Amino acid sequence: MIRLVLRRVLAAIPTLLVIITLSFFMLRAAPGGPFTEARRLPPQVLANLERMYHLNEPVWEQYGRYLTHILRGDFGPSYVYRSTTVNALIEQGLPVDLTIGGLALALALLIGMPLGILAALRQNTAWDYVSMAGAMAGISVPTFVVAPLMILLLAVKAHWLPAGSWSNGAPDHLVLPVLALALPLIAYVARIMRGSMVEVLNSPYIRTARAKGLPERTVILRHALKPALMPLISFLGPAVVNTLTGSIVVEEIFGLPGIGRFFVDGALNRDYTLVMGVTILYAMLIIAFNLIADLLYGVLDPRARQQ
Amino acid sequence: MAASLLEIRNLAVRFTTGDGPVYAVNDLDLEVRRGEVLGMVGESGSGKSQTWLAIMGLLAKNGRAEGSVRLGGEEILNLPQRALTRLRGERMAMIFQDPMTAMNPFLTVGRQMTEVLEWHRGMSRREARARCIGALESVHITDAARRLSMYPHEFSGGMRQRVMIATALLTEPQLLICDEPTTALDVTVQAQILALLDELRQRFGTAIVLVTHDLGVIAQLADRVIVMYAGRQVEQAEVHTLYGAYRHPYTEGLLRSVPRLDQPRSARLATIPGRPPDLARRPAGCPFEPRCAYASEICRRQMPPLVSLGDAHLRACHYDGALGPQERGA
Repeated sequence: MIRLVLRRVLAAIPTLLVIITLSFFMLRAAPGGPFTEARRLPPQVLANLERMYHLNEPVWEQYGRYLTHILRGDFGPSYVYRSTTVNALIEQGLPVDLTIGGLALALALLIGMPLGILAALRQNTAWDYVSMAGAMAGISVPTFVVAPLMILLLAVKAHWLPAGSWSNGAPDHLVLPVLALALPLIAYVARIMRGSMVEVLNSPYIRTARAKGLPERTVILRHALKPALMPLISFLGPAVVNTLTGSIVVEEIFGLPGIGRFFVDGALNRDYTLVMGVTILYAMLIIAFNLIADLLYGVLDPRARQQ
Repeated sequence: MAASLLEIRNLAVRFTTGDGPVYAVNDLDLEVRRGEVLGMVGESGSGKSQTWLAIMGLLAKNGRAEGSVRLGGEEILNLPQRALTRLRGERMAMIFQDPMTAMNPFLTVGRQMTEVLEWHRGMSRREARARCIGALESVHITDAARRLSMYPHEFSGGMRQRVMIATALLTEPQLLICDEPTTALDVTVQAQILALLDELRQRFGTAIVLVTHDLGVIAQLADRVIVMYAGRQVEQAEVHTLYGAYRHPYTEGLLRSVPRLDQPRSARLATIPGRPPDLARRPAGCPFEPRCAYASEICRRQMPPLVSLGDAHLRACHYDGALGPQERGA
């Protein structure tokens, strides 16, 4: 177990290096720079700015400098949000994303799993068809359609909930963004759960369990549930990261100060360090959650544990 | 003659599919006697497995069984789920073809054994564990206590099938149904498993149903044999009668297509021409007629009834003449 973790962490280093290098040079290759805005700066000011941020140096030198800074955990100053650092921006934005994303995930599992299991147990009944059709709709309708509709109906018309803004994470401000983020996730979880449950219920070892005379409750809870969770775990590894970070649309619509917004702003304004910082953070999260998924696999499946 | 344990009357199994009904088992009448080994042979799709799955209440969702099945005089076909939990694993048990997939890979071998005693006998986990150690020893698994905490993937195929057998016999059921119990195992392990089954039936007096396509397996273990074709019983006899004096052309085809070591290597293996019939169609005549060398006009028109030839030998065939060169007993 410890060896697996160690090996994976070591293997992550070259992966990260490739990601850093690629995104560093791709960003530099993009036309424009952090200070080429609509409002032209006087050449002297521009030169001063570039010197201050070392942008006048050869790109290889900049790359080397960036790497040494990263090794110290320093993502550098932001070019767009001047007078603040990328680290500070991430520290500010990440809790927002973690709160919304974490709640959405919990909601998705809490609702999606039972929904999918029940659909599998009542396969090809009205319950199955209705919940799976609902799930299909949840997957197909994009967030940028659902979220404004929710604002329109629940906030603007009914006045039940605030339409947006963070307000230091006040619970009523969380409801709509969490729902908007959770909806497609609930749908995915339910569909995956149903699919794997149906498959497991048709497997020979479930037939054996029934042949032993075990009551259906035991057959499902003891024999079917654990194997049916495995595909969900594979899905959740990357999906968790997507939910924690990919709330860019939700952040925009509800006006939340999460990282996603910084990422978009940074990309539009060629804020090299900000974009790099967020990219590296996402990459590390993806690597970490894939590792967690693999470890969970080992915990649940004795066959995976052996390797 | 030993008393009858299981009586099957007019059993029919039908599956509803997108292309209409499929008739897997038709008009099946047979009985299993206490303590005997009844073999059932036939090729894939002959209905031999579906017969026993139906009796166990394990048909796929689109399957329906009709007719009557009595175990010890009590009707057991199409019982509600609750009643089945007291019947399966308690009075009759079933083991399956592939011991690799028939055990739950997520649970220890011990858990999959003790749960039977916990449920059917109300034992504590501890008591059940002690009993399971004894059960594993009786199927010749050594170091049983340690093996109980292992997972199925740590066992070989033959050992898994031993575990399946030990589990099935924990409650000392009156009937053990073995669906292709040795098909997934290699030949030496196969022989060991068959010897084990023989030993256990003598010890516990359990009646065994042996479903297989392998005539060699039948010859080793069975007292009586039923030959199935297209969901119908075509011949039934004592094992020696069947191998020595079969009276159905299909049985002849089956016996001839067994590879033999005493034939020259260059000899071609005999086969039955044609292919098994489409079970969605129900021909008026004998289902074997299109592939039968002895078929005549009446075979096309009329289903041959199952008729006794005396001496507990039954067959369903119109042909009265002699069959081809009779084989010696295998």
